[in-house]
Amino acid sequence: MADNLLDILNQRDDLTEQELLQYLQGNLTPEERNAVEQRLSSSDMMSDAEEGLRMADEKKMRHAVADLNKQLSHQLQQQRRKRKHKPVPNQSLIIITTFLILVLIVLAFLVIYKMKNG
Amino acid sequence: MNTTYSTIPDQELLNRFYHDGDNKWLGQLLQRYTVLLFGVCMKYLKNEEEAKDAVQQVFEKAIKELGKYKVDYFKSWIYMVAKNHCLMQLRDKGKLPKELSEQMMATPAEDVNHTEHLQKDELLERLTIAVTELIPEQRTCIELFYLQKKSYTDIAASTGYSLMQVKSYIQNGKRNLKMILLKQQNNGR
Repeated sequence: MADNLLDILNQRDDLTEQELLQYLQGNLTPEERNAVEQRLSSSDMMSDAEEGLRMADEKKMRHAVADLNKQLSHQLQQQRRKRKHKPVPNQSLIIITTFLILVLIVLAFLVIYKMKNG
Repeated sequence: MNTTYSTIPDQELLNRFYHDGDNKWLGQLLQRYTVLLFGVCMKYLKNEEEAKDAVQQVFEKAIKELGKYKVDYFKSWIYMVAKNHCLMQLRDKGKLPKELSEQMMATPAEDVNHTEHLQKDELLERLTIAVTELIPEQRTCIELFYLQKKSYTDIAASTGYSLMQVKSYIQNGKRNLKMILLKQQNNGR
């Protein structure tokens, strides 16, 4: 049994949302409760979430979570749509400009070559 | 949440977002944390509507920031974003308790395990001795919680402490044990 003391040094941060909700609903055996609580004591986020969810009205919480997920999806979809409709730079303009620069370089080279060789 | 992606680890979702810039990965990742973030914000703001608004702002911040730089430990990062957001709100309203103001803007503590190299038996022996050095309340709660595997409520019922006291004695007891072990180790050098 003393071996259990070593659990104090274990940092397990793998508690899932589902396990936390089951714990809050009181659906766990005493052993499972202790196992969840040991992991809660190793994770600041889970421990804070547990405290907060315990004081929240469950119905309001579920509504809020559903709304938040809906808003998030909507926001991300809008971003995606905006990105899709972003005007692409005029490709032909880029090609013509590059071609003209190349022609100018060749011409400049020819002029210099002619001047050097009389 | 889409179950198709439920088995993909957080970091993998984030890497996919960094790789192809498709924010559907970000959506999957953030939705995993909606309930937890709501709980965290609720703990500090103590109001469902305010907690909901706070989570929405945390999401907005996350979408903006994750597009700008790389985050290695998403869970710790999003927790600190949410916590700092709530603490800032409390500070702006003049409702920030002193002990919380000291935690503001804190980065997640790196819990370096300084005892990794010790043998299991030696570590256990040192821990057993260290437990005796704790104050009685912390010792009782640590023993009931880790040795007898009692839950918080069972410990509260058998000791007469409140649930908050039990949690606090366990949390502080753990921290003190680690400090005692570290001290022993430094003295042994």
